[in-house]
Amino acid sequence: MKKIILFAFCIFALAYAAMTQVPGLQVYDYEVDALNAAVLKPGDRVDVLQLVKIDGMVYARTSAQNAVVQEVSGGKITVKFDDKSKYLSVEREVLKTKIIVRNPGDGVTRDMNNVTLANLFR
Amino acid sequence: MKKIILTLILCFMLPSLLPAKKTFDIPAGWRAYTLETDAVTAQNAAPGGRVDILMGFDAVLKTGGSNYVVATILQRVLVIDTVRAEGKNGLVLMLAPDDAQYLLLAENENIKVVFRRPDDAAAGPIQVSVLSNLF
Repeated sequence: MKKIILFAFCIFALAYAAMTQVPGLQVYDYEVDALNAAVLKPGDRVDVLQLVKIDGMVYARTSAQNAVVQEVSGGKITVKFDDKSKYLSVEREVLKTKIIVRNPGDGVTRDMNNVTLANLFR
Repeated sequence: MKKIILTLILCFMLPSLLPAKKTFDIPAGWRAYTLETDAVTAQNAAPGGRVDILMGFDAVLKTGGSNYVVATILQRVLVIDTVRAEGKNGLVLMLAPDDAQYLLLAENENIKVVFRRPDDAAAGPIQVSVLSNLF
C-alpha cells in the first residue's frame, strides 16, 4: 500500500512540475526592491528594465521582453525567457533593475532602443 | 499512513491557502510599473486616478555649466493600484513600454507625483520650469 501511495505521489509531483514549467531558453535571477517584488508572482509575464552605465552615460534599456516569473523570494526574482534576449550576454554596470508586468496574452516583442534623459527632450 | 496522506495533501494545498497577490488587469501593449512614493502620496492615490510625473534635474547648458530645471515628463498616467511593502509605499502605474523606460531614468533623479482630475483629458507640451523664469 505504501509503495502504491509513494508511486502515485511521484507521478503527481512529476506532472505538477511539468505543468508549472514553461519551455524556455535561460533562467536568470534579478534583484529588485521590495515594492517591485510585492507585485510580482510566479506565472506573471514581464519585461525587465535596467538602468545601465556605459562609458559614464546612464541609459535605460529593456533587457528582456515577455519573460515568465518563476520564483519570487524576497527581492530576488527568478525569471525564465522564452524569447530572444539580446542584451543578456552583455556585461554592463547595472545601477537598477525594474520588472514591469504585462498582459499575459500580449506576446508582442519589438526592438527597444536604449534611451537617455537627452532623448526625452528631443 | 493517514498522517502521511494528510501531510502530502497539506503540502500541495499550502500555497493556495496563503494570501494571493493581486492580478492587474493590464491591456495588451501596456505595462504595470511600480513607482516608490512617499506615504502621503500613496495614501491619497486610488485605483482609477490620474497623475502627472514631474522630474527635477541638473540640465547641462550649451553655454556651459548647468541649471536645475523641472519638467513634466508624463501626463494623465493611470493609477492601477497602491502598494506597500517593508515600510515603503508606492503606486502601480499603467504605462506604455517606452514611457516605462523614461520613468526608470527619471527615478534616478528627483521625481514628484501630482494628482489631477480623472476626467481632465488635457495633455500637451508644458514648458520646462527654471527658478530664474519665476522672477
